[in-house]
Amino acid sequence: MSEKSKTIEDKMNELRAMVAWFENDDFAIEQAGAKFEAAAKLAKDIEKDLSEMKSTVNVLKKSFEES
Amino acid sequence: METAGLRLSVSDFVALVNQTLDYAFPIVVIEGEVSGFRVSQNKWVRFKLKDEQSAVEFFGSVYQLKVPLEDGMVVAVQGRPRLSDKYGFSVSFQAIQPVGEGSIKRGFELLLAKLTEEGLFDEARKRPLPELPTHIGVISSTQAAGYADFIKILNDRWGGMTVTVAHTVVQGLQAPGQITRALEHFNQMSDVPDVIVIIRGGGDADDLAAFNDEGLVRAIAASRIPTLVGVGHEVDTTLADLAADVRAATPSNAAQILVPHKRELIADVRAQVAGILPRMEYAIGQLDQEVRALIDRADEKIEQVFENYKLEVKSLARLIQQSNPANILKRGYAIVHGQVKQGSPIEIERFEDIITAEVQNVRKK
Repeated sequence: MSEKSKTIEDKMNELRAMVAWFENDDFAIEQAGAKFEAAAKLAKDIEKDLSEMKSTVNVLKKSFEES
Repeated sequence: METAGLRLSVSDFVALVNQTLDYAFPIVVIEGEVSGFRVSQNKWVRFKLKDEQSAVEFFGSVYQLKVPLEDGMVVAVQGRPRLSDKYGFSVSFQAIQPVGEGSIKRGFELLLAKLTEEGLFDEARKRPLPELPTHIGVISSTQAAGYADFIKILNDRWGGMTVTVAHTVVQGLQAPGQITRALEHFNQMSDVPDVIVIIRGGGDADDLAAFNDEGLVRAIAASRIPTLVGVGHEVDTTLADLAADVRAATPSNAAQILVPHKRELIADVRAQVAGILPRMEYAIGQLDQEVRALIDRADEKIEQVFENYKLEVKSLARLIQQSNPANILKRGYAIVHGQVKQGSPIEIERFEDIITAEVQNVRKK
């Protein structure tokens, strides 16, 4: 899945997994710096997505009056 | 007989009256007090609506009766006036709504008891709403203030969603049918919404009576898509609220329930990243402690070796001192230099002096 096609929920899940890495047994100090930078970048991406996203409102043309 | 009027058969007269009624009054709404309410064969419903001077007969099937009726209730009934060839004049009812606080309350209580008995409002039936919906179906009047509030708050809080709106009336006799059809439409869409929201702003009991319609309440309960109902103000409770998976106090509250605020998520994202730092500091602290402990152990080892050397050197020095001839002479001993044979000169070295002497005799011990 490309970065652009990821939803905010996908990115949030990715961020949660990154944060969890720092708490689990795989944690290694040698990789921590790079992982932290990746998490900080992802957090910024999410903030950007959140501030830019807009909803589309479609009003149905269909009438719901009794036919 | 010569008359000025039309001469008709009974059947023709009935047909003519119905034709005239269809043309002049295809649909009427009549308000009055229910009397003589009865259900026959569990199928047919008959009652009268009366006021101080008149009474009109109504007829229909139990399937069309969407609010419980009893004598004395004041209701507004929508229907078609008909002249039956067998039963005379009556209005075939299509929709009924209680009118006035007392009747609405009574109708509400009767239907509440019936549907509660059926388990329609059971907590076990409630489904959770999606955490982050991407497609929302909204049923409301697009002219209503509650709708505008809902859309504004929804857009302020979140974005990236598709909001499909079914415009319906949200009060009056037409409302339950229109809202029910909109619900069915959403449930049958190929791209079904993640959640259906039914909203209407505040109003008096008459305005909100549509949301106590049995057909609508059942349609909400039967929806395969989770439902959120935000009707009226916080103090208003309708049966539609009770049948929904989630109830919102107002349309604005519905938007708040539906999506988180971007602000909250941004704060959460920042907190998550900030939460990593103490973990890293802790890990670095642990490493630092380990390194310090290793250095301390190395220091101790070096000191121990050094002490051992010092002790050994001291011991060796003591031995050397003990072997020093000067120290032996100091203890009163003497060293004899020269050949040990009779007549030979010898020197006897003591600590403080050297004596020259001659060997007079040598004998075995």
